[in-house]
Amino acid sequence: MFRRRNKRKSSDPRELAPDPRWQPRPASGRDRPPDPDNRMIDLEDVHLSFGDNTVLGGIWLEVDRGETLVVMGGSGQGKSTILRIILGLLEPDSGRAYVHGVNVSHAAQEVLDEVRRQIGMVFQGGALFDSLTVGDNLAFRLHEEKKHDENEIDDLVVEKLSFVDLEPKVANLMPAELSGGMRKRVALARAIMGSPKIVLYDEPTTGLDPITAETITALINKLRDTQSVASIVVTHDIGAALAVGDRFAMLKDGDIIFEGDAEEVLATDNPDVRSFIDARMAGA
Amino acid sequence: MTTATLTRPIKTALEEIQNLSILTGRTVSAFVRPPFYWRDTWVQMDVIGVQSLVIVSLTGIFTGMVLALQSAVQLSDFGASLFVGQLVAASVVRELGPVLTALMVAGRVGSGIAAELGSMRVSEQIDALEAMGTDPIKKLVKPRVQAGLVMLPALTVITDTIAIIGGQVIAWLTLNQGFSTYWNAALNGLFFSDLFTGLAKPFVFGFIITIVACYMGLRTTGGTEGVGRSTTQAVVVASVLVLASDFFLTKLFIEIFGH
Repeated sequence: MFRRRNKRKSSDPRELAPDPRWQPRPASGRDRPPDPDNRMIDLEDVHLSFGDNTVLGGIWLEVDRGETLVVMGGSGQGKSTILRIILGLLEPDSGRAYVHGVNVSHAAQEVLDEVRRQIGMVFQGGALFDSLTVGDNLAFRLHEEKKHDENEIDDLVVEKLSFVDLEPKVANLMPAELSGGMRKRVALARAIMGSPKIVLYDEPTTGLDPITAETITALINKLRDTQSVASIVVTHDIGAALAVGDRFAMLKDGDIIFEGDAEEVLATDNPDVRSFIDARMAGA
Repeated sequence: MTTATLTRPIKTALEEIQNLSILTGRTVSAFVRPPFYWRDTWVQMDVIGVQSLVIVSLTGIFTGMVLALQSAVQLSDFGASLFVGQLVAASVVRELGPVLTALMVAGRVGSGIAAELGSMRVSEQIDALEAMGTDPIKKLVKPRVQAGLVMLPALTVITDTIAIIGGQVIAWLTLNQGFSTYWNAALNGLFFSDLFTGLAKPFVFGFIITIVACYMGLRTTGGTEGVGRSTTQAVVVASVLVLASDFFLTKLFIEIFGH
């Protein structure tokens, strides 16, 4: 539980060079060959169990730069677990997770820390630090990196708040003073503070009213279109999924039972996908 | 009853001890590894130390007064009421000051740390820290343990002092004992070994209380109910460990100093 990854003697940046075993495979549903420069995330045959409970039973996924992959599925199907494996917060029992060719499943702590700086994560509840103001939440990563002076950090905070359509004065509020939609927007602004190449979203629209949810999905698309980030959106909100997704994967009982684009999702006769979509549409 | 049913609690207990040991080892090694969050340590010194002043002061004054009250009655029977100050000082500095301060801090601070870190765990704030490349042990645990190591001895000195003053008040009221008589007896009753023991114990207690509270907070699962459970466990486990370690430390110091 409290074990830290093995340390290596040095934190040579060359350690972030792609793993020689990394062989990006074509994205499902794509005819064109994979481009290693644009391939941001690769999961290869990832297995994970907690005791007797198999959470992931051999997952293969890939995401390119500027692409949004939506992982759908019911509660407890292992959707969020995939994000934790990509971040290196969980180690798979077998298989590999690559972030831009770097294997994070068995990486040294220094390598993992460096990889995480390239990833922004929007947690389900926002996970804003209660004891810090919104501004300090946004500035947290930059303060830790110690590469910017205070003026630069203040400017970046205002810039990112503006990106998510929030006024600069919001920086002075405490997280407890924010509405649900504002929390999500602040969480998104915090996730993109380091200008990450990858952004992971865990249920970004859960618990929001339809209008606020639409605002969040618009921001996700804006981020993809303006900064070409690779995104994985984990959700069981089919409306939000269709609004942001370029490709879709359906997770059930630890396996991906369907992959395809929006048209294929809507046209599929896979009974599990069909019943999931129909149930969610009826619920909406 | 199956063997598995019998062995499961033992296995669970061993796993808890193992995880606490790992956390302890990583925290101690983090003491000499950057980054150092001195500002967080300063804030925690305020939370653990300054904000506990009232509670330890009350503990000290009433402990000293009740000790003097009890001993005044007993010692007067033997015509030894001059030794009230000595008895109060020795009892408080060696034993009651460190232990009672630690128990009060375990209740006030241990529960607070466990609740804070537990809430951070269940609301994914700990995960968010790690996702941003920040080690939660260096950022959250190290400052709290450092603050505990510094502030418990400081609080204990304050408790001891106020307890001896409380004893003086009672000695004056019940025995009409003067200031110099009481304080001469009190100071004559203290040896270097007493002062060393009285400061070494809270140093250990400070570590135990903060590391146990951090451990209970970080391992929280099960939402708000889990936070409540962790908070209770932090206070109970820290208090029991304080009392148990007090016995072994007392035994150790008796071996070292001979009394």
